[in-house]
Parts: sequence; structure tokens; C-alpha cells
Amino acid sequence: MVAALGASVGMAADLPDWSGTWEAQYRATNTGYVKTPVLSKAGWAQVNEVRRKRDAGELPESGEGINCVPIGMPDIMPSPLFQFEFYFTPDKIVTYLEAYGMVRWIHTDGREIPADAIPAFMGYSTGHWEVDTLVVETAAVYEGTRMTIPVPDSDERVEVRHGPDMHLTERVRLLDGDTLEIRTTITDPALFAEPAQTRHLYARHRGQEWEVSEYVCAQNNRTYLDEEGKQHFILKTD
Amino acid sequence: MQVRDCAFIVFGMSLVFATSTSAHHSTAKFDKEHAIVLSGTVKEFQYTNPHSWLQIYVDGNNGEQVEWGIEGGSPNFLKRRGWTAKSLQPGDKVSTRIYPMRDGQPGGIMIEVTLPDGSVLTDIPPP
Repeated sequence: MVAALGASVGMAADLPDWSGTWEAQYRATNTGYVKTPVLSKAGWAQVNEVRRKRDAGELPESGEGINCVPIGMPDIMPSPLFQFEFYFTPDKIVTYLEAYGMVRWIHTDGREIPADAIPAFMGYSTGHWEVDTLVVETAAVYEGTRMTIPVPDSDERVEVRHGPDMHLTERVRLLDGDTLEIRTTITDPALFAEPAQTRHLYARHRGQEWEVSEYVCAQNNRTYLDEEGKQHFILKTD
Repeated sequence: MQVRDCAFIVFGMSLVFATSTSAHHSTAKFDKEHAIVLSGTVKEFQYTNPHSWLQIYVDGNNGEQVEWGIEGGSPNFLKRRGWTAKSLQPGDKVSTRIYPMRDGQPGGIMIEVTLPDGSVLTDIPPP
């Protein structure tokens, strides 16, 4: 117990201060996809199928979020208006995200991502430090997880599904005292012909009003899709 | 916006208004070009996820009381704008600025509420 406590205290003293909560700066310039992703053949097939359904009126009026299906990695990290918070332990870094109340466990004990990791919305993550930058490797992201990508040579952004072999490498560091930067390299042959890169900035908040909150989407979900994909709202409470 | 190489693809405010995977649902059903103001009596305020809801009785064209359902933000960011579960009490006389439903149903998305004491609580910023 004493040894474990000592390791924990020593570790915490060596780590950068990421306390407080973090909010995506969705209005910031120079954020999002660093450059237009180069789509693979399979990626173009997905995009063109979404376009066909859209033009034929076959897309539902709302995405699956309406049924409280969470966003997964990597899109969940820059969710606007939702905070996240880091918790450092001796063998892992835990991140709680208000968006859909999701949790990430980033193992920092030197393990590798198991080949039989359970596919999950947040995937399976390992991490190590390179000076003051946390490098996080993530795989085993459930392939039903949705992503929105910009389409080359257009102004479109299309919701697609990544493949089972998607791999993410995040480099997380403080840019200044209250700004966190996450650069993510996304490798996924089901979408991209070469690794795609994103950059997002997060502002630190402190104070009780900024503490993270519970988010149980099924608590009072008064929106739904009918069998034809039309969106409805339950407007009365009687 | 044409997407170009070597340029960041900025997602911007559209993320907030439900055109992205981040959103719980689409807001295409609401007329975000023509805000209206409702005045009425609070029936109920649900400070819940994924959305808060203000149920408000408003006088109809024939003098009848019409219940409107006004969708608001989730408590996590409403609390950061000064809201609490008790901000709106049954019987309160309030006015609320909303984006109404396009199809004429008595519903909308909340922009702000003016309380009986004249103070204003704001919700999601407009697009």
C-alpha cells in the first residue's frame, strides 16, 4: 500500500497539470481535419451510397443519436458544449466525457492492445508519455460507430462508418496554461487511402459550474423516428 | 466552402445545430430563420437529459389554452448559463423566444426565457 501510494504520488508530481474540465473550441480556427482526407475506394463507395440515399430521400430525418446511440471515437472527443475530465491513476488515465456519459480507460502500464479486445464505442486505448505529450493508441473501436468526414472536392460533410481495423494515434499536450491540443492520426482502409489527421483545441474550465455532469440520454428522450424515418417530437406531457 | 488541401476543415457552429454526429437529433424541423415569442404560464419544467423541456400554456386564437412543448439544452450546459432545476416553477408567468416548428405544431427550440422578475435565462446560442 505504501509502495503503491508512493508510486502514485511520484507519478502525479511528474505529470503535467491537466486538472479542471476541457471543452472543445469548435469556433477556433485551424481545427478539424488538417487537410482533405484522401478516401480509399471503399471510402468513396460509402460516400457515394450516402449521396445516393440522400438524393433519393432515403436517409432518415435524423441520425441514430435520436435513439441515444452514443458517438464513438474519434468524433466524440470534440463534441461541442460538452466537457471532459482526466483522472490519473498509477496504471491508467481515465477520461469521463459528458457527451453520452462515456468513459475512456487509457492503460499506461506498458501493455499492448489485446488482439481480442472487445469492440467498443470508445475502443481500447494504451498510452505512454513522450516528455509532456501523452501518446494514445486506440483500436477495437466498434465498427458501427459513426463519423462525419469532409468529402474531397466538395463542401459536403458526410456521415459514414469506419471499418473494424481503424487505428487512432492521439498526441495530447498543453499548448499553453489553459489550452489542450489533441492531434489525431486516423488510419482506416475502409475510409482512407492514407492516414487522415485532425487537430482540435480544448479550453480549460475551473469552478463548480464547470464540473462534469451525468448524461443519461434515455432519461427523457422525447424524440423518435417512425418506420419511414420521419422525425417526431412528443410535445405534450399528458 | 470548397475543401482544399493544406487547409483545416472547420466544422464550426453547424456542430451545435445538429448537422453532425455530435447531435442528439436533427433540428431541421424548426424554423431557425423566424424566431417567435410566446407568453404564457408554466405548466412544468423538465430539467432532464438529453434535453430540458418547458411545458407552457399559451392563449390560442379562440381563447383556449394551448400547451406548447419547448425543447431546451441539457442540464450540463444550462447550469453553466445560470439555470437550475427550480428556474421555472409551475404557475410562473414567463415569455420565451423560440424557433418554432415548421409544421405549425405547438413546439419549438428555446432561445431564452424571460422570468417574472424580468431576468433572462439564455439557452443554446443561435446558429
